[in-house]
Amino acid sequence: MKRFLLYIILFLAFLLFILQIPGLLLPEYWGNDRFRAKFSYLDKTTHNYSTYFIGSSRVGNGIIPEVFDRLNNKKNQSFNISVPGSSSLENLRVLKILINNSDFNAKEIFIECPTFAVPEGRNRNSVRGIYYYDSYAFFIQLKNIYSKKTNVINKINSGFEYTILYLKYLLKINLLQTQIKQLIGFSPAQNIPSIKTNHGYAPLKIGSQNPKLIKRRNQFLKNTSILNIRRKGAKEAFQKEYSYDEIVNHHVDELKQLIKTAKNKNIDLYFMLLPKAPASYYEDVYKHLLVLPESNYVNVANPIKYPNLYQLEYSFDRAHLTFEGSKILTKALYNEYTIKKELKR
Amino acid sequence: MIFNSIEFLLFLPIVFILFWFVCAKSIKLQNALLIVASYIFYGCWDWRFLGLIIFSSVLDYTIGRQLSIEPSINKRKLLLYLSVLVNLGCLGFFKYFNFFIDSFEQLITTVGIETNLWTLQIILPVGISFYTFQTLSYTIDVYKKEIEASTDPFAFFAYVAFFPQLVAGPIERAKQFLPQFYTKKKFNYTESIDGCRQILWGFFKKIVIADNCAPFVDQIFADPTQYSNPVLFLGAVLFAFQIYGDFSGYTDIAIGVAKLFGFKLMRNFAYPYFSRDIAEFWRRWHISLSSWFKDYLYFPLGGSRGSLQKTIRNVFIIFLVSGFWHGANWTFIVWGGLNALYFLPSLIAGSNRKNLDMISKDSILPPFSELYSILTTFTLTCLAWIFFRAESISHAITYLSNLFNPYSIHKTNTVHLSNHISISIVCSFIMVLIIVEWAQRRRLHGLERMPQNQWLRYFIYTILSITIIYHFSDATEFIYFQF
Repeated sequence: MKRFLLYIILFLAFLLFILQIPGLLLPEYWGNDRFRAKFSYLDKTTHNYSTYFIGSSRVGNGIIPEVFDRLNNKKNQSFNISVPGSSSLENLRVLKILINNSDFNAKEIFIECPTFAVPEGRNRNSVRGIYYYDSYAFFIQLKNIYSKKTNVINKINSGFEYTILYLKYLLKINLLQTQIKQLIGFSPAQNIPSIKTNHGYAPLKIGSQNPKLIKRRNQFLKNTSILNIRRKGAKEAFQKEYSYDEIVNHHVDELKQLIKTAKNKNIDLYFMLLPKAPASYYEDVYKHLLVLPESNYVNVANPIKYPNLYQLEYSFDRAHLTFEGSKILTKALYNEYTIKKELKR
Repeated sequence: MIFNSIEFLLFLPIVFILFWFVCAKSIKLQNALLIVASYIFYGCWDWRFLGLIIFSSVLDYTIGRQLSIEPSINKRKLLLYLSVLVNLGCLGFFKYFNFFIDSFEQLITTVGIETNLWTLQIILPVGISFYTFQTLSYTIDVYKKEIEASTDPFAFFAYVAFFPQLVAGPIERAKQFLPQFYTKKKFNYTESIDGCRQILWGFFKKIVIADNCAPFVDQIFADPTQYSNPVLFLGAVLFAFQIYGDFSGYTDIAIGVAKLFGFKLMRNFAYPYFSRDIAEFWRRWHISLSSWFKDYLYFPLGGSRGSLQKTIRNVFIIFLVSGFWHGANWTFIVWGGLNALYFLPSLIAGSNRKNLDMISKDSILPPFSELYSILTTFTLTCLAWIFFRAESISHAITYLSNLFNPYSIHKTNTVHLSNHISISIVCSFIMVLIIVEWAQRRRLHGLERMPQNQWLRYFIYTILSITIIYHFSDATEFIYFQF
């Protein structure tokens, strides 16, 4: 029996090692085509970018680097590296790449405040759904389960689910094909022209001829009451008094660690709260930001302070702003940033 | 839970460790663990149908016990009928209820009577045909006094629910399989290593062969009028390998997993596509079902002991019932009937037991005459598979008429699937399968005999494992689960 187990374990360990090789040869963002496109642009062009915005489409369609630079009296210094639908764990990967790689010359990084959770409902069999689910992500999920106030059965179920996901990641299930295609140059990074022209920002203009955008817009216009729900939810989340019991300690520790790591590389890190997210998101992250030094987060999501950002006039859909709305958001972000910068001094 | 899922890769080592390290002291504990593990394995698919397995186990265990103490022949017969009726009743209700209602409705509609009979939304419990036949074999054997009734409920329940073969066989006979649950298991290194190899080969057949053939087959069968004769023939050939890879792959994994727990399951496939005639094919394809029908239906009907007409009748009954066992659709019945027709010439000529020896026993490659027989048998089998794969009789006829229509040759539509490997790569994998299985045709499975050189052996395992992982996508169910 011992001999059998030894052979099996050794063989599996060897196989696991072999399976990790393609991943080690590829950059960390290999599983997300849009990140690949943006990083490929940054790699291939000479640029002066030193301010980066990381997040989901709320950042990608909301923050205009050009406007930010103009307000900052600079030119071509900031770049929006956000990708629609990116998860908080993916964004943390991007953050770590920007911090650890001096080629990007990052001085200031704004990142949408992370939840540290694997998004629910995402296809966990797709490459984009699991490529970032490494040991770090797995242990964060285990810590999340441990800290959750739920019964043992739910904890076991969640633990099992995340272990399966991690095994898929380790064994490269559904991932190996894409990795090998990229390694042999069969799947080059896309060239998205707007990356260059808008410094990574993707405007949502009313009157756009893009059929997907038209559909999204029309769907929103059919029922705009969601906007009120989001406004109300955000207002309540920011007015709520959070108790210490509600704080997930390891989330705060992770945020502090990120700030520290960035600081060690002379990078100012800001966690952003952007408008029009579901109330549950604000409730999830705001309580943790309150424990951090004030200079490390910017909140432009509060509808009392920024009512315009929740107005129908500036809304492209329930979660995103129009081009005009984005200008207001970027200005608001810049104002908050200058305050925080003062605080840091 | 299915074999080709990450859940199973987590489940198997846990059960293995518990079986050999925690429950190794007593056979009762080992059987109890197997029952719990098997119920979890089955319950992961749909826990509601666990009740059906438990009911079937309780019923046949009780009837078996009663049969062992009941001296009256009439009462014994009554008990047997009860078991057969209840087991086949469950199978009939879940599998064939709607088929009979639909067929009856169609029949009276053709006579001109308008009707609107109700059907039920019945979910077919996975593996019901397999475990029903397994429990039936037990009561019949106890009734015939060929085996002793089990007095150990743990052993009997584990025999019915044994997870490696619960959902798609091999359909084990109580005579051979049940006694294995009475003796404490001892770990056997050689058997376990061989089990792992068989599992690996099973995964190759399922994931690399069957799952890669499936999209092409689906596309070609979706609209056979679109394609030329060679493409349609390719579709039938690919389906032949899909169903073989799928079902024999499952069986290899099942047998391999059973070996890890010290159990020996019967052989279910013996390289059927190397058969030289249809009779040989049926001795090599789904052996556990063919032999079940032979023992419990063909022989009781008289087998080949009576006149030629009676033998022909019995052969047709066996093939038609076998077809119907596969599913509640006329296509399966026609498939069975077609195989019976193929079988007929050799039966009449008395040559149906001609090819009992090993193929190309003393040579590496088959002589031309054998190759010709193999290819002819394979082609006939492929044509029959068209009925098996088609959704309806008319669908199969459309496929066949286009396949044999000389004008179809001008159709230029090709099979192309975006985001999928090319047909040439699939054909290369099929060639690998054929070469490996031909080389191992004297052995029980494709990886039974491996090179002596350890490094070469591990190199082969690594290449196979990586190929499997490379092609592993969302866990796809096995075709035979629906039966």
